[in-house]
Amino acid sequence: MTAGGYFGRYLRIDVGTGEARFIDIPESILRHYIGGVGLGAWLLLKEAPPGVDPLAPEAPLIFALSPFVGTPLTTSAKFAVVAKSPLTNRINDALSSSHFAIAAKRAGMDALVLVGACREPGVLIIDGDPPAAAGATRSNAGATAPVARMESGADLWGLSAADAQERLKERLRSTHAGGAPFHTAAIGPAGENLVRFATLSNDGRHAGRGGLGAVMGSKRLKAMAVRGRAFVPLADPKTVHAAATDLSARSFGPATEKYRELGTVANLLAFNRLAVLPTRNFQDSTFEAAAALSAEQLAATRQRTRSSCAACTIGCENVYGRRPGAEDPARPGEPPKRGVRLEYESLFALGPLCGIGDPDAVLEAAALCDELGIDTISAGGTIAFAMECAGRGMLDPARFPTAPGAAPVPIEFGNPRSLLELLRLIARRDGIGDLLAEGSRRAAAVIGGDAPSFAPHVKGLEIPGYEPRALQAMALGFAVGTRGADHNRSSAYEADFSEGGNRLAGDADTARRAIVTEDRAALMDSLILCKFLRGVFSDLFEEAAPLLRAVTGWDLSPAELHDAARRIVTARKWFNEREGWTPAEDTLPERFLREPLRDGASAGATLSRQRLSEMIAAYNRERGFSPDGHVPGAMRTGLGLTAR
Amino acid sequence: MRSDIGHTTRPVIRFGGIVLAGGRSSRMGRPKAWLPVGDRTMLATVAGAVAEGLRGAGSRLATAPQPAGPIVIVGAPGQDLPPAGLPVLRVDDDVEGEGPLRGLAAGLGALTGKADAAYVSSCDVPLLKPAFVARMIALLGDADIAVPLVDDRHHPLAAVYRIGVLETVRDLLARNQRRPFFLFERRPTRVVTATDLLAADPGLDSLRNFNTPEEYDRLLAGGGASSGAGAAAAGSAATSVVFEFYGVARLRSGRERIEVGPAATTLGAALTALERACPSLSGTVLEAGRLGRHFRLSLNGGQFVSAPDQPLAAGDTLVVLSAEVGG
Ligand code: SF4
Repeated sequence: MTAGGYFGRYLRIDVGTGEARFIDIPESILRHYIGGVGLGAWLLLKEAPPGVDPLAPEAPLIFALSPFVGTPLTTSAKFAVVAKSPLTNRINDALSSSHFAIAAKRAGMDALVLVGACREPGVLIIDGDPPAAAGATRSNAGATAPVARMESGADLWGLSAADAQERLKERLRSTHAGGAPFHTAAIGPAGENLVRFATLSNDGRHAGRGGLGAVMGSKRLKAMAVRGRAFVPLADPKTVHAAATDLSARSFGPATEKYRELGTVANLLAFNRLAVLPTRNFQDSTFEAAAALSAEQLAATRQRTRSSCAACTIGCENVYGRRPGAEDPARPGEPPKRGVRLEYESLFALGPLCGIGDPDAVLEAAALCDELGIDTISAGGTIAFAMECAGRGMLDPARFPTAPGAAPVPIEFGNPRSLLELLRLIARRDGIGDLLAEGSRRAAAVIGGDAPSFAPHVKGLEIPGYEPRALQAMALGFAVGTRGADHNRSSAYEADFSEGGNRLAGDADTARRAIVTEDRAALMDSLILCKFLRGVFSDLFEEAAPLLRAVTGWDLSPAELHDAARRIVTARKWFNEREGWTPAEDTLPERFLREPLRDGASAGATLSRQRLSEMIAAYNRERGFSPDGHVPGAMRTGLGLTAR
Repeated sequence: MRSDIGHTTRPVIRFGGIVLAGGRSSRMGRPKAWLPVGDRTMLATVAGAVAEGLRGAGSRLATAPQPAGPIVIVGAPGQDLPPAGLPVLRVDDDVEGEGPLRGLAAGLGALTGKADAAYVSSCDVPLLKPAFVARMIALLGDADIAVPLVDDRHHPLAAVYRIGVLETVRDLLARNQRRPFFLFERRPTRVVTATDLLAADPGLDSLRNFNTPEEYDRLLAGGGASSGAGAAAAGSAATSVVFEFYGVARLRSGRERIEVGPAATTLGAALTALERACPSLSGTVLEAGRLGRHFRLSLNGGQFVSAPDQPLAAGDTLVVLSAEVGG
């Protein structure tokens, strides 16, 4: 019998043929990889042919659920979308949340793997509550696969992800009346056009990083809908419910107050004060207009509503109203249909990083990114890079026309029009947008000259809003990050923002501290619990073991969970190695190793190549990798990681 | 017993003072009691502050000026102690080196029949303020003991004890239970927090003792107490620092920044002063006088600090932000 919290199988669908079947997942694998990014990494190793082109039909697109999805544990309605990234050619996993996760679990699976490609724009319907079963007694999944059917997505093609989902739901309400409601996910125009940093959206949330929307777009899959009635048994429901009550109560405490009161945008002003706020493509680390963009200022001057993912008692989402007279990005002339959900990462990338200090322009750009379905961090990073190139005279209009046949668009820092126009061009792959849709690494290679030295990426993924020279644990996290410059799987900023280390002078101890945060993140992202909940745990491993024990019935120890976290980190690394990773990829762009910071509290901060190498060597040593970062054969064998 | 109609008065309590001077001073290298504080000795400075505090407490309770209660100096057997500069009773600790309860027993024994309760001090607190002594006395109320709990620790040698606890002290000593905490467990004890003491001693300098020559020098050089015998003797250098608030700290404090001083020579003192100036920060940003665990303090925008004894310099800025910075 499968452990509580799991169905012990994943649903594999070929969207080209419509063939769908359940495939068993051995219990030992569930115990080793848990769910979310862990289970996703295992599935990717299993399902992706070595060396596969991320945009080829055979490349799998994986939705990995977790044992906690569907339980009453707060913030647990989450899933990981995992694929080989078209931006980095390395592993990519992005978390998203809300009802889609619950609906997918209730269709009776622990993960969904999509392969193949539709000939025409399509929509995938996974019906775990077909009419015959509607009203039937709830059961444990049933043995049969849910009905999976491909439908035409032609009428949705070209729409924003939000509009496509709305229209699809409407359609399903009439074609599938009765039964459980469907929940949906979709891509926007950028995903259709294979923008390498296109997002995949659901319930207003996004699996944002690494171009998962392009992977879905390459399958010509515009949207998917899922529903179900299965429920998964819990080993010890009483304990799970008691733990859920306790966790909810703790989630109202001071550990989450910042997220509840101001949301992640609260970082901006504090980061500016500490001079770690990336500005004008990482040329500066403070921004003169930071106050105008701050959460404190936005809260005081805008209409703001708070909202949350399904099953979350924190509610960190801050949705801001647009200025009077603003237009809907998809419907010029009409007032905006929705408010703008703003996170720190979007604010930094579309604001200071591009030198934009007008809050309305930033809100408009964030709304446009949601509408077009593009990752705000990579979009902001790539556009900021283009702005610097233009400022240095490297974008000859004859060679790089902004939009053929149209009036040239100025490309310069601080110009909202540059930002908004470039976003549209990128999504359409028009003119220079076609180049920038490839991301900063590929664009820099085409532009040539010195451009690669200041293209703001690691392994092709644009750097988020943490200045690496002044946050050196984070710098290490970016450099060794398996999906590239990624703050989420590493979380090394926690080490920088705590006592005991020197954020301006990393060393071997910094590496140890970065590993601690990375292991914790691996567990949180596999269980899955929202990372904004982590502050309520004094010792995550100690507290998570009884939680997972109550859900699954496994006799788990904290040490075993720690092993699982390390295994997950190694599996992700091994995938990259299998796909051609070399040690030279674990670095930062030349700019960060050459130019000192020049302003504010971080003035003079440098990160030498030597220091970064020493931190990387210490990281590899602590992880048990070879000195240059390879996963040793014995370690792989021990973890059961084979070539395929 | 009743006096004015509608008012109940308690029996008058006679307060005395006890100064424990018998410690070994091993890390100092010389007896603490003899160390100079301005033109007085350490013992005279502390005894003077206790006496003044007793007078202050008495005058608040009575309408006419009150004489200081009796003061006992407890030394080690045969220990050479300097003059206290005022009439005191000298007694010896009957067994040397057994911790504060042994000295407390000797002192309380000497005051039996002469006082009902006593302010008990060590002799290494040159910045002890009379107002602090008076405040602690006023806070005893119906309890047997009033003891400060600051920076997560009890301060049993800056506390008030009823003479009646002597029996329990002796019992604990007989059982070899020498930690003052056992006494607090056994007798009704009022735990006094920083908030209750700030009006009397904004920097809580009265609690600052020393064990090494460096600590002694630092204490006297940067003591910064604004009043009181110790401060007057030590001389003061005004140290004001600025707290800047971000995010939740700004919401809670209702302001962007605040300057605190003039005695913010350490982070502990600065946080104590901050708590007094912004009581709304208590319970979140500040917990029991320390930085709450979900917040961070960056010194001048650089390193993160939290240790109460972190030295601060005039003009330092402490940036208060949330510990949770994930985006
Ligand atoms: S804290 Fe925010 S991101 Fe996390 S589950 Fe809740 S609403 Fe979603």
